[in-house]
Amino acid sequence: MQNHYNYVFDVITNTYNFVTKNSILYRIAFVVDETFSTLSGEEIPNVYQLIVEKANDELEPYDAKVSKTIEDIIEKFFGRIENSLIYICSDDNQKSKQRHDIFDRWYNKSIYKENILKLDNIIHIDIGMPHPQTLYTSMMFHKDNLNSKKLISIYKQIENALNEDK
Amino acid sequence: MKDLKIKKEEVLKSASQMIADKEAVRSYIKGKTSLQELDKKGIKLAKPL
Repeated sequence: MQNHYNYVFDVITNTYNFVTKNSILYRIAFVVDETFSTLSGEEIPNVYQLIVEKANDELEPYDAKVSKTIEDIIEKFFGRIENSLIYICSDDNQKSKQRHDIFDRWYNKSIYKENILKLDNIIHIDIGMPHPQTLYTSMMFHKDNLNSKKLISIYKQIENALNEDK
Repeated sequence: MKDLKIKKEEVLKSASQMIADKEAVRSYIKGKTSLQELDKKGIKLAKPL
């Protein structure tokens, strides 16, 4: 039996959608991200920021098929080895570390670990919110990605820049 | 690849932009922001699968 929900790409919203057994609609967006191109001054294509969100604020009981569905989408995403993914754990409710730890545990247990590399950076930032934000960011890409050396180099540079004042 | 020296302020500026983009898309998913507004901010949603 299939362990995830069926999902479809909605051409109206430009998101991948699925509905759970509790009738909760999830939307998954891939945002074209040019951060690496901007910071490096070179064109680094096929980099996307992953955003997963419920369409409304209803609370949903734990449903294992939700994470399995997201996992399936990520697996298909890396079916194209040129794709790279940025995932930022939001700091709303100051839960970014908790979210990052869940994501990290999932990655460490996953079968993708063999082929998909994950690099992490923690960024402390004050952007005028009620409290300074701590962002847990992850970058994932296929080990055979032709841009992998560039991606690692830029990521290291970002890390170095963030450690400048330490 | 050319030699690269990324400055901390550039990283923080990019990170701020990414957070702003993420918040705009979350708002869009919840029906509080239109696709046109995302377009105006230069946010592009893709179909990479």
